[in-house]
Amino acid sequence: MIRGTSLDIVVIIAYFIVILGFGVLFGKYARTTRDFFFGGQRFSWWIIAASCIATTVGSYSFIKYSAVGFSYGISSTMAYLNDWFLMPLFVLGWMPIIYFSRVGSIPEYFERRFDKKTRIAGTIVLLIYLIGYIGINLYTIGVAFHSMLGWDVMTTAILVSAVCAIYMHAGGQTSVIMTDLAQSIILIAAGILVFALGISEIGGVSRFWDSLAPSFRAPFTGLLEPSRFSSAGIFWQDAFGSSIAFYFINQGVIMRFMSVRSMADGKRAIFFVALFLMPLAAFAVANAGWIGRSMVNLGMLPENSDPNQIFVIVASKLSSPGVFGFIMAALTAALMSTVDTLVNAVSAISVNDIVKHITPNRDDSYYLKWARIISLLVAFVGILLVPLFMQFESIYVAHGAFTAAVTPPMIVVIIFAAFWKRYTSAAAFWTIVGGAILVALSIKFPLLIKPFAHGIAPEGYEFMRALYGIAVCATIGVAVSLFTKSKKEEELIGLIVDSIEEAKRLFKGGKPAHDHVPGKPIRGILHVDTIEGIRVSKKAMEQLMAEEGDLLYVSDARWWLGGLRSVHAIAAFPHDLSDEIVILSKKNAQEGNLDPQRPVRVVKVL
Amino acid sequence: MNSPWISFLYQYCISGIVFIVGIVLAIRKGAINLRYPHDRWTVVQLVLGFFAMIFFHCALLIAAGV
Repeated sequence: MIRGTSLDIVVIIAYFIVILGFGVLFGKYARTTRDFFFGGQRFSWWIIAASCIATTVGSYSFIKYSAVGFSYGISSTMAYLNDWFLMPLFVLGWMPIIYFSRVGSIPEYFERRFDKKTRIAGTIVLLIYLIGYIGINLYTIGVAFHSMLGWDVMTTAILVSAVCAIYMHAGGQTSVIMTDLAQSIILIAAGILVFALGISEIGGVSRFWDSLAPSFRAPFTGLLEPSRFSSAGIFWQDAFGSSIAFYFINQGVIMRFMSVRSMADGKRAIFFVALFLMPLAAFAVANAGWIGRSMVNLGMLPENSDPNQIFVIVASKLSSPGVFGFIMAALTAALMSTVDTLVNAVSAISVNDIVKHITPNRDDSYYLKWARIISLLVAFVGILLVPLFMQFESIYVAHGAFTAAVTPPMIVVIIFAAFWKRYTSAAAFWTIVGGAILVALSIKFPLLIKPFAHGIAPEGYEFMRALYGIAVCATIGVAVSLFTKSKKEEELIGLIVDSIEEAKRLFKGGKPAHDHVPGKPIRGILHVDTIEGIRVSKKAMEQLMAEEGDLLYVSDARWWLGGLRSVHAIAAFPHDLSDEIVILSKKNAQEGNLDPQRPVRVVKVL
Repeated sequence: MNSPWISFLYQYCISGIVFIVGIVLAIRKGAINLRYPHDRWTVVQLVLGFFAMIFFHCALLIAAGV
């Protein structure tokens, strides 16, 4: 066991206090359920991108990818660098559908696209997936702190989830986004710090690189070997299982992208995440394993070092007191930034799909109260799952097995729902129920996976479960659709890729004029009035290429606020005052936390 | 079958098919319209990103000396 010093413990406790304060501070921006769950749809792309990477990187990531990095090398980055092929489906299809149709949750989409029973089935599966995800993150941080401080796994899980729950309870999505922004910087910085310290200890980049075997330096393992980390297995489990699940069915990620101020910013955010931040995150979370292997090869660490402990071993060996505390704080940051998103997501599903059905037609403050209560309850349930994940041989296996078992039915339903209008309600229901049964059977009888295993040895079958699951679920979906009747096309407006233009019209409340000619942003001084919407001068309207009825976005001119003080408003008739004056209704100004007499920036959205 | 280059080809062949199907579906179903410069630019970004990932992985494989 590695013992942290008193200074390390002080650093970690200071980190907890700062994040708690930061999260609670932004709680004042959550006045409605729309603020609590979607942050008011006001944020800039760079805040969403940065906070998204903090959500992607869980505490398990440092432990899991350092372990595989130690065992298999640079190929530990495979899981983070194989997402781009999903971008057309996500950016051109799924993201516009959920953004413009304003669905509050995926089960809500299921009811609108299919029927109520599919919504119920979807709710059950999603809650299992999200709460399980919380459990595995809490388990991982428990394992890490047990190694470092000797704390009991459950004690750590309780402490960390309590901190998360408190600021989640206060601020919802806005607190999540702002704390995740801070935590993403911390965790990437810590990853780079470990590498820099490691290279310094080893004696330079050349010595590090030369100490590794060529196969260890490659970004892929063999196609079928090693069976516990073959590239085919990782491709199907991570690219098709985890990544599709992450982008398409993870309610927390979907809510994050619904928090952007416009679709254009959503695209920028996801492109930046997949092309730049994911490679950076892959490097940050796995390099302790590569450094560890190099140190073993150079005789600086014992040959029998435990892969599951290698992150903590390397970090403690390389860092001085206090710095080690900072690295462990980054591990905690990774956990909290994932758990807070998931807690918010479960809260959204619970309020939208359960509370609103049991007690309909209440005012928004009633549902906001429930959202806050459920945030606390979910964190508690996550703690109860920790003992379940303790039973797996490694964190990598526990996480992969869990995701591959739960997600295939949902993946198939969402892809078919969005891209195939012939897909029927009965088919969706049976894809979820039948698919879940067949995937469960493959856990009991792994030989079912053999026809999909590409010849991988039986101990690697579980890595091919995602392919098996997608194949059987797709077969059910197609077969049932062929024998049942689909909904009429007019019932699917805005819910399928065929009618995204219609979805935009519904989102705006009118024809999306000049959709593809955005005009130039303008700047002015904010004035507040009682007239609905936003008014600028005629010249400013021309510069924006906007007309009355267009949707504009007004934000505080300080770019670094990232949209924290901003609001969408409908353009009203132009005013005759100075071109420098922007007049906003009092209601809009309050919604956007915008102060009169301050400089603002206005752009056309739709 | 153990060469990482086989894994590279396997990944980009299968993911390439899904990638192309995604773009073709979006165009055929009217989710994007290539007559609009904004939509054309989105498709160009997607294709450039795909080739950037291929280039990145190629560079890593060559640097690894496998």
